Amino acid sequence: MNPLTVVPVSLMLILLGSLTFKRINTPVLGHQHALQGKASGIALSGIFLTLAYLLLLPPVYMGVEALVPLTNGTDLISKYFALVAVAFLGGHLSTAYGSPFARRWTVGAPGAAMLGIVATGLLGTLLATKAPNPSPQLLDYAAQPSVRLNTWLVLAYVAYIVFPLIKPAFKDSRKNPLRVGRIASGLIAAGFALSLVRAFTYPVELSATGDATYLFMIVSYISTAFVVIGLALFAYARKNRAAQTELGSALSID
Amino acid sequence: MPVSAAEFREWLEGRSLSSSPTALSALTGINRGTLNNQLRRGNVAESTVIAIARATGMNVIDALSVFSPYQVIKTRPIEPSSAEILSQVHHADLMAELQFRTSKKHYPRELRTGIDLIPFPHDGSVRTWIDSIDPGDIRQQMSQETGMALTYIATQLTENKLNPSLAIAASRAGGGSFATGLVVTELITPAEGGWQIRAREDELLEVSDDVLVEAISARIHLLQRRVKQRKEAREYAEKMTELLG
Repeated sequence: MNPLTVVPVSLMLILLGSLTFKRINTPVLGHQHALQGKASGIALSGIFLTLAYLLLLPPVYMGVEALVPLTNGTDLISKYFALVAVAFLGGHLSTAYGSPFARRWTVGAPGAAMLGIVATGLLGTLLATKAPNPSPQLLDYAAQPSVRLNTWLVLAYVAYIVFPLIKPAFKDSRKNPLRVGRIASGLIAAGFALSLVRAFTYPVELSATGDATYLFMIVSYISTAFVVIGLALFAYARKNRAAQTELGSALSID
Repeated sequence: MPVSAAEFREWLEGRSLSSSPTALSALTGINRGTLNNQLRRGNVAESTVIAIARATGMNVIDALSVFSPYQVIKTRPIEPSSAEILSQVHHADLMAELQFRTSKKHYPRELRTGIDLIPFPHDGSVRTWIDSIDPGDIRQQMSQETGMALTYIATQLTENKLNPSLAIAASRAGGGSFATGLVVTELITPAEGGWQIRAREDELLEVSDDVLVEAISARIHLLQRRVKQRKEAREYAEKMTELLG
């Protein structure tokens, strides 16, 4: 159990879990708004991503491994959860940022087709991997070409989803009338850009050895944290009624 | 439109002042690094000249008009016109004056006793100054003179500011006092720009009914635009926080 994998996963789990729980359970936001209201896609994305990280914790991973018929099937389930989370996020953000192109690209027919292809590819690459023992994120078998392809498929899907959203998020980081909104969208755009960079620079990762490989994984954790914190800032703005308080009467000079 | 470092050094020498950044920093309170950078780059900010003039008890207009970009200042009267003064009165104060004139019984002027006018600059006051001197194509003339894009000028006005070169260009196009542009944009104080101590209060009392109503009407038009923009901004922010929060 390498602490370089367990510690970041645990930290991400704490961050994601706490923010998702807060989003659903805060009285002002309300679970009804979070799960059934206009922001339901974000809450569902948070739940699926939290589950994806939860499954990667070694004790949970081993426990689930005892229940699934396929060795390292838990890793597959975790990745499926992550894909669904990203799809929910992409679909929801494309609506929020008012980008019909991104909406079609992420959750329209091309998005569904891409999700199907990647999901099938993940199953295929797992079946092609010689992995007799459970290993979260298949790290013990990272040298096998099928595992490399497996990892890249997840990165490529994330890049595919975030690519059309970077521009609208960046635009909002400039034009949102609320300062907190500009910071939030800036973080989301930066997180997406990092995800895109990691997917495109994946060949560089393949030549990395030893603990250096974990550095690349941390890029994804940082990008996820940026997006999650950005969304939490929007929740903070909603909870504090920032739009109403900061953009009140244009007549008052007090 | 910063002044040239060579002219600046010459001016300091003429006043028997040291041009060393350390000495100037001690004199004006401006950061030594900032002064050093201005001298090194060859462009000294107007605010530096003004700070030195103030620190040495020199007349600020006299000091600025030594430098080539500002030699025009004294070619026109320093004092502001009535329209320029009125442009710096807040619309709420204009409306209060309208009420005082409407009914001494319902709106006695004494209600205002001891309460000052809303100070300027206030939201939109730079734009109202531009409007008060606009011969019809002032923005185009400002753009042509300074080489700055109309969109840049519009952005500056939205942010209620104008850099000194645009302020001078506006005054030139509007035919008014050059100093007033520098007052309105806060480069110099009203007293330094030749404004009487109660210039705005006096102007408000003296302005004719038709000019007062016309000024209010123009301000209401600007206010309508601002209120609409605020409403749109709030609706957008509410939509985003509702969808993502």
